Amino acid sequence: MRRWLLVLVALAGLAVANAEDLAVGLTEDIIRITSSFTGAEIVMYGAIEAENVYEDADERDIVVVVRGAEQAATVRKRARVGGVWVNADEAVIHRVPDFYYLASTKDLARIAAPAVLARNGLGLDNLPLELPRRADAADFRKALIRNKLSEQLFHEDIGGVTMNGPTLFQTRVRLPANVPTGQYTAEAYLFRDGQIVSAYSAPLEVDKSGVERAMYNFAQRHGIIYGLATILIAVLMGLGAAYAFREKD
Amino acid sequence: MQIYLPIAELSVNVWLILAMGGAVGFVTGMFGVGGGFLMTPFLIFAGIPPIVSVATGASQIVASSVSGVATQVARKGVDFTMGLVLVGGGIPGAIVGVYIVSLLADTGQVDLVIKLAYVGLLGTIGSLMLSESVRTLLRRRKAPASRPKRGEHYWLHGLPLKVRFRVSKLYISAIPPVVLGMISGVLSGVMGIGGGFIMVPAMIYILRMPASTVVGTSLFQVFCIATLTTFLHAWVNQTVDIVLALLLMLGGVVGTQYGARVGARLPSEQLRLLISMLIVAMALRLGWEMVSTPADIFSVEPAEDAQ
Repeated sequence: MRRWLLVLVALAGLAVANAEDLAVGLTEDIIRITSSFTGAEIVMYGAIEAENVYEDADERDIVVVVRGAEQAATVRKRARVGGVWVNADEAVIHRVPDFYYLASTKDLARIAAPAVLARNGLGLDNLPLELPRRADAADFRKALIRNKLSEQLFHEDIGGVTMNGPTLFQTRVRLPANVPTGQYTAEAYLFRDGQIVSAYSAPLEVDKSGVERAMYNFAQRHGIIYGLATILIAVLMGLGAAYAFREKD
Repeated sequence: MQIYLPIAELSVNVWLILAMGGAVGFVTGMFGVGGGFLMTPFLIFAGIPPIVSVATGASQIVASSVSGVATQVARKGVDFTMGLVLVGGGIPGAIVGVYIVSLLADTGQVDLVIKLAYVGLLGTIGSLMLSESVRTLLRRRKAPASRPKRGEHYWLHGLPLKVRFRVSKLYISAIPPVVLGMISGVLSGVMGIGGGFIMVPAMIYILRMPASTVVGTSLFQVFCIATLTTFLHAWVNQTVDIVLALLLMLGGVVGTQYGARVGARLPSEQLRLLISMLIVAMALRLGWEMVSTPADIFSVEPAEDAQ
């Protein structure tokens, strides 16, 4: 199936011989979370294919995005009531990506018009978040993005895509230790004159490795046995320590 | 050294978690309290999600309290009859507590209620104990201590359903211990704590148990309630993180043993002064957190996607 798609893409490339195209690769397409996981770094590298690569090379721009699955998030706002800070207000925002990492050759505003960026969800200001209908929705949106930035789950790296000569580019995508598991997509966009002339997208999977996944699944499926096993281990450890440290008569 | 926690889904520093387990275990062994009131805030501070903190903290308390009970059994410091009567009240209490939490969760104010309960309870008990132990320490310089006399009769002895508690050398109604157990059970369900820090003073001042059986019996009751809580959380919420639990237990059981040593050497008045200071400090810290202006008045958490 995928092979046929590639053939189709290749044919489409031939059909418009003048068009510029992207060939992109990822150093890894599965991130395994092991017991010593402290985050990961993947490199996305690629080449621009064009009839004449030197023609107006300066006017090409690359934007790379890695995004996770979309979830809903509750944003709560605290207020002081009788001296105590309490959750006074909340808003549910839908379609919040688990993870969002953008790197570009230059400032997004200088690459394309806001409408083009918004259509493709490029940039933290252009995420397709579904906000509740209320006057202060923008405040909640800002708070959400601020929170995700501080957790390193959102990141914008302007200038993070480096060009090596007129056709080769690469960028490093840093996934922090708290990165959620799930299906991600890695995307690359080639811009010229403010328009996308070529786009690439590939799946990226973030998953727990064998042991971690097995423990998680067991906890989910066999809660009773998991609970009893935890208690048994706790009791044995407690007795073991009491025995090891027993008072000598 | 970092290690990934499969249920909490994040990496933590191994030494930090071992140290936390050790510190809480030390308190457990020294004072005969589960230490849940310290452990849960510690874990949340380390970035563990609150629901995983409560559930996994309970499993660590199981290990620490077993370790403490085993040591106390050797010293004949556990009144199992009293312990079982307390647990008999504690189990329905814990279930009621869990139910209260689920009711509060619907209103979105569960955090506030839990924090208010912590501050109110720790503040009240802590300051009562603190003033009492300071007074006792001051008085002891002049005259012999006037602790509540065990032989003395008061209203409690008029209640029916009398039971003989041989180890504690008490012949009192089962109603006060059942009610006490129930109160600590509710608190355990709502606040994720074993309730030991309430049980210990209550055993001394209300039940008038001899000091030799208070710590062991409280540990036994804490062990039973923490076991139930761990099981319920693992079964219903799947929030017990076994890797985190193992690290906490490892630190905890060792800490408990050293704590028990130190506790056995210190006079009980000083022990009470120390724990009351600890409880008051915790209440002040939590209280300050509630009134001080937060760095960001917004907070974010995953929502149930209604789409």
